[in-house]
Amino acid sequence: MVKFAEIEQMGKAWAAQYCKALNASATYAKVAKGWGLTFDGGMLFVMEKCGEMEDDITAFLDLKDGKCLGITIVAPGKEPPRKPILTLRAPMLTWRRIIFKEIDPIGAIMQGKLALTGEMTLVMRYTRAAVELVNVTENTDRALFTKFNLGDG
Amino acid sequence: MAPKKSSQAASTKEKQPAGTPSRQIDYSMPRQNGLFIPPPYTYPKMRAIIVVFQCAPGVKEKFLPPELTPIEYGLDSIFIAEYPNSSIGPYHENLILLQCEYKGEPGSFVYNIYVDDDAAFAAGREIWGFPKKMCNISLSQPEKGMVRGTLTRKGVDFLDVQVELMDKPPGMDPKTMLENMPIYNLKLIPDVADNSKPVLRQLTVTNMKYNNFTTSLGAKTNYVRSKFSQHDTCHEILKDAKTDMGGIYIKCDQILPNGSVLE
Repeated sequence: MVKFAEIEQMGKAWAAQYCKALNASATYAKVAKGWGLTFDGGMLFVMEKCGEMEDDITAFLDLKDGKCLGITIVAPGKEPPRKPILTLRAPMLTWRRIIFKEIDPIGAIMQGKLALTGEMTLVMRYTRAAVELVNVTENTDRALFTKFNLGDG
Repeated sequence: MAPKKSSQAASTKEKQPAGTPSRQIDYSMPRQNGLFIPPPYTYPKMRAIIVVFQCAPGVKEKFLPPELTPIEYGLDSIFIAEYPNSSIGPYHENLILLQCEYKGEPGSFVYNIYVDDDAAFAAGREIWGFPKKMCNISLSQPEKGMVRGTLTRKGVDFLDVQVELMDKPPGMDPKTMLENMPIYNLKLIPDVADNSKPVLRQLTVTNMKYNNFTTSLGAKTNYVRSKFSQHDTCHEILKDAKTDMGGIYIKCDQILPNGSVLE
């Protein structure tokens, strides 16, 4: 079994890469323009334990006006830096399938595989930005999502 | 004149079965026994499939009124419902909704809407500006985990949708999702004397309410099949759309209140 402490550094390295990749994406900058200007743009990605993972991995994305101001990996049992405006929650295996485009994020929500809570009107206004959040992961080292046995769902 | 009006109202009421709301003289046509009553309309124990799709980029702007801005890659949707008992009687309904913004406020423009009841048809058009057409609509009961909705108009089977129900609810609360989606309509009433412009042109907004959910299941889209028809343009919207995005299946109570005029 893999504990959070064993993958924390890997998670932080991926978070730093992901933030950098978001800031390098002209498409994300365009479609997420205005996000977080009139509200706190913090989002929470909860990657729930499955397979050999013993702990959840939680990432707090500090997003504002098409830019990523930082991504914090939150340890199990700890609170994120701020209350997120949106939270996306799914088993790590589902995140892997979304990131590798085996399933569409909207489809995952509709089928109940990815849970979304928070300010729903923002989801409607920024659906394209949500898709780009996924697309940009292609420009990161996604070993965090492939290194461990996550089961078969 | 007042006593006569009162007498007409009493006479009309006497003819109605118990539990039927009173008709209001001079509310809807014909004036003494209008086709429909004033809202709000309630739809207890309705059931519906809502299938999400995404129009191809650039398509929506051709179909939206100029006051509305398309939200590309948004949550466009096909809604097929069965109303076993509403304020205006039982009927079926289908909406094709295009996600858009009005002055920065996201909502859904009713691109097309179909019903199979004359009161629903007339009330929708005359009160809110829903661009309703009459149509044969079916919504199957869940069978082997599948629900299918079909539309046939003027001999053309122009829309056929099938979803596979999941064994759990969708990943976002359907009440929140539906109630956070204001419905925009463009109400057009032609002039009796001048064909060059409508006598009434209103952009309206209506906020539906949903309560008492007894079923709320996520769904996988098996297929969305549209067919060209000279009478309907749904195929133009759907032929290049991304349609494999899933949907939801719900059973609940729906309320259609008065809307308001945006401009």
